Amino acid sequence: MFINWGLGELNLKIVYYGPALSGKTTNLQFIHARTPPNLRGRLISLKTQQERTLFFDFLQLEIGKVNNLKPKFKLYTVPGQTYYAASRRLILQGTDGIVFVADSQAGRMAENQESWYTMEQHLIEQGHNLATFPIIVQFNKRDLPHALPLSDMRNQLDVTGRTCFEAAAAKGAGVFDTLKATMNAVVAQVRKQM
Amino acid sequence: MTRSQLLLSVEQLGELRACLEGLSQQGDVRFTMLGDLSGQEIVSWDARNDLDTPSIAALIAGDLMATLEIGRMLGGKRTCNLIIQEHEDMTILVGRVGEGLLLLLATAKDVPLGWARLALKRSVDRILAIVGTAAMTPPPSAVSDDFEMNFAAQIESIW
Repeated sequence: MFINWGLGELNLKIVYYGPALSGKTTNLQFIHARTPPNLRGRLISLKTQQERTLFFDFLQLEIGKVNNLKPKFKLYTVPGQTYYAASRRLILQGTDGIVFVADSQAGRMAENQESWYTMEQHLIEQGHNLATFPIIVQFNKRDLPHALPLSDMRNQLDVTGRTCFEAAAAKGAGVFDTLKATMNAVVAQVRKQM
Repeated sequence: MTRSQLLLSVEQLGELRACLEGLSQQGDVRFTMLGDLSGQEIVSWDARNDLDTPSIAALIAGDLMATLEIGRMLGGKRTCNLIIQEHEDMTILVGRVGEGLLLLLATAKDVPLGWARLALKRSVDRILAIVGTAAMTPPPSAVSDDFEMNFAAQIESIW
């Protein structure tokens, strides 16, 4: 969080976290495509030649003026592959909230669990309280034929008490529900801290 | 590591902006920006006035953090204080300001590197004097009780 009192700006950071190919970049692409141009910046993507996220994607959203403050959200994704752990830790620095994008396909639960575990470790390292830190869960790829039942995913990821959304990000379903819930959770958390 | 919680007064921001403007007038400076290591832009000065500064802030923080991490993995102590990038038509220097901030200085290629390094170092010292411990001073109460409700209504109206 950075507050620029001179310009009345409230700058907040949200990171889309999750295993490789779970749909983090797809979320940002859809948000970018469906947000009025005057409220969004460019979508910056640092990708490999195979179109996989190398370091991060970045998108700034503006919300207009709320009570004389201009909230601005910086959305980041992390690279999902396990060997980019160092990059993920760096990108989580200073984050105000997280969208955890889980892959609903059968056979991806181990990757989801490992990613969730490393996310918790990084947040603890950075001094966050997991009980109060805003983490919204998105169960993505619900439209695919081999999607696991939601109850199985909830049990295996241990997301009790967390706000969760079903999504098919490639079609846009659930993308903005997730984003809005995360923004509201982040703003509520910032209010508590001030 | 602690999270970014930088809170600066209007006066401090004005002083920081004046500091960057002063730096820009000392040589052929293209762009200069003060940001933090989490990717937030604090103040910037842009000769062209058309740069995508939020994206630059995110990228340069990633660059410096990645360099720090490379140093750590090579057995260092995450103490990198300066990155120098030599581009075809400009030179970019990124200096660390205290623990959590960074200062970017982009100059024309013909600006002597020694001058740029010295100018950056002096600016870092000036910025530290301005930011100091007052950077953590609690802000005035500007986020009112109905902020959350009004914010939620606003984002509903957008998407």
